[in-house]
Amino acid sequence: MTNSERKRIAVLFGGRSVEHEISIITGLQLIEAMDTVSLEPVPVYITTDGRWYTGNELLRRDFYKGLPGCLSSLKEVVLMPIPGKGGLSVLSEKKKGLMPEIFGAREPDLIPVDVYIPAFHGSYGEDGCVQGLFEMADVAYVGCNVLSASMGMNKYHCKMFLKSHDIPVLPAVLIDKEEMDPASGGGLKAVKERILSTPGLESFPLFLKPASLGSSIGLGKARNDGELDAAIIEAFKYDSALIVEPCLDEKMEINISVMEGDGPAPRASVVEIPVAEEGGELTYEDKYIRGGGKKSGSLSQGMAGLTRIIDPADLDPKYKELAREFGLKIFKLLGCSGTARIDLMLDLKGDQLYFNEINTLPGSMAYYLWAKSDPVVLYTDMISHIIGRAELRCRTKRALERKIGFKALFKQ
Amino acid sequence: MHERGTISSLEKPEIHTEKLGVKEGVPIIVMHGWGQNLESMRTLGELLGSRNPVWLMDLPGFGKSSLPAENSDTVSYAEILKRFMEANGIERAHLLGHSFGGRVSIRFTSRYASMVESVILVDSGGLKRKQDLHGKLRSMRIKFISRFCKTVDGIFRTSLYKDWFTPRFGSRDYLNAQGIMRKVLVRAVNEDVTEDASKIDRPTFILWGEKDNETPVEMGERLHSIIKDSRLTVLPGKDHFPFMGDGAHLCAHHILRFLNSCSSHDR
Repeated sequence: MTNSERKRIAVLFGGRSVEHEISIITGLQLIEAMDTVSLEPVPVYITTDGRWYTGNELLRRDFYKGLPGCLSSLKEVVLMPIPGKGGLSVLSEKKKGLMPEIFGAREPDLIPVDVYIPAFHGSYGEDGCVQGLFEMADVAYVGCNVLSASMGMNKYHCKMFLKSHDIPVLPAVLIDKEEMDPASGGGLKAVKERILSTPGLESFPLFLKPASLGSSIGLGKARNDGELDAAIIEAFKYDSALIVEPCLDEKMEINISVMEGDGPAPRASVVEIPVAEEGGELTYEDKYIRGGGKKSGSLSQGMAGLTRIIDPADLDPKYKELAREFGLKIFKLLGCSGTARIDLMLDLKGDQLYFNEINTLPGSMAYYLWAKSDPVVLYTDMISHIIGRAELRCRTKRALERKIGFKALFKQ
Repeated sequence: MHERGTISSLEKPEIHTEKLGVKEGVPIIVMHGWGQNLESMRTLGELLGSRNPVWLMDLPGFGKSSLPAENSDTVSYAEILKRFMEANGIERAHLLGHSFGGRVSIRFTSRYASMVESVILVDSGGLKRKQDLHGKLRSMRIKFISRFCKTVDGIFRTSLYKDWFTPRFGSRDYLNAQGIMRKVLVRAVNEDVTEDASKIDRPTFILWGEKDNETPVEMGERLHSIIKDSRLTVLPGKDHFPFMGDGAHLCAHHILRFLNSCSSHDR
């Protein structure tokens, strides 16, 4: 029953990111929920060293146990940055037939693709990099464009931009890894001095995180000078820049998902309060291992498996409304598309809601929030919707005038 | 939010159910497949609960429901369903049956059409598998070995059938089933509900995984040709359990579309 009329949707996952594994879960969930009656998924796995492979074996989770040897059963492909091709060029096809050196010198096979869905988290996939490739190749792709993706990825720049648009944010300082270099007059001592002299960061506890990572990787809380040293070194293991923020004593994380609508106005989901194992910050284990592992022998569900309270009945409706208002405004300000999850921080002492960070490609595409929203949005319908929007954007962009002829070069 | 329903304790067997979803509207009664229980249908049930009230049911002999009577077949299950509906004041319902639950839905609808708003069959059982020559030869061979073992057991008082034949040739479901349930299973897999299916005159939605190896998609196509007012949707890439994991969203999408198209007055 393969319907040749189905749109071919390349779902890209994996990638050169510490969130590689989580991206595999997101990608496979997305394919599982996709309306395969009207859409034909083309799974594309990008290895940790950045090579692209496709093949239906990728749909089985146990396939990944055989890495890297099992890759030989797949086709290696690449998206060429050439407009008009549209599909994935096959790299690994062995030349067939008589005297392939003479007759085999042909164009590589092309796997046709109508729309690309990046299901990556973190570097090279959520940060505008792969989006840049999509732009170069002039293909339709789901979600944020280069600018909104890269703005969303950098915690510091994102905060500063939103602050200038009157969204409340906690004070922060950005430290570049180069500042740790004694050769240029820097070092740990100088870095610590700069942190502790930033307005709002004068006293412990402080909160350190890599500037461009999600999934709680490289996070550190510093209650004193010694812990600050350790947290700085830990964060620089994963990123070349880190951001330091004050650590609120009594706080609550409130997350909300925002999705592009049918017109310029986006839509907001219900809110969630993620719950950490031992109070305090969510760890990588909280987010991806503990939740999914609670049913014995079940597969990890990524962000969809996290222990959380969705649409908590006892949360003051005024905060729910404020989170909605912030979410919709932030999504528009950053020029986002697709589905994003916006993480807010409620200071329970100061009764103030702050923007914390945005995930422009959230774990599990935040579908678990939409399944509990009113009206309910099925993951299947969300996927079809954001694919339709991607095609519309692509058509609109292609209609723009790019060629104005050669005038300056051959001036009379 | 969740209500638990049972048939009064005088009536046997006891049926364990969970009610979820919206309060108003024609309920959807969800019946799972063989060897499963209502948990296998929970995610799908929750998603459908946004439109209609949903009763998730543990069929007799599964989950928290008690065993059915000694000589039960799928018709007995349909009678149990009728008693359950009457006991809970459900005049009319949408029936959603997966695999074995589909057999029960067909049995019920052909008998009590007035109590059924619509039928949703997901990778349903009920039809005999069509076999090619290879398959026919294989089952003839197995039947011969089975008869041989039973004969030897009869003459020499051995237990060849139980100790050698069954572990080797018995299906996974058969091996897992115990006592009464093993008999129910044998009766169910040997029955053919074609005649009952041909009597169904309620709107019917047939949803099938393209790669179903247990009840191949050919059975869905046959049910579609037998049931008059039926619609068939085949889900590419899905197996006998298309609603597992995030496939629940995909199944809910197609089921809700069917429910919305076939009636506007049932909410």
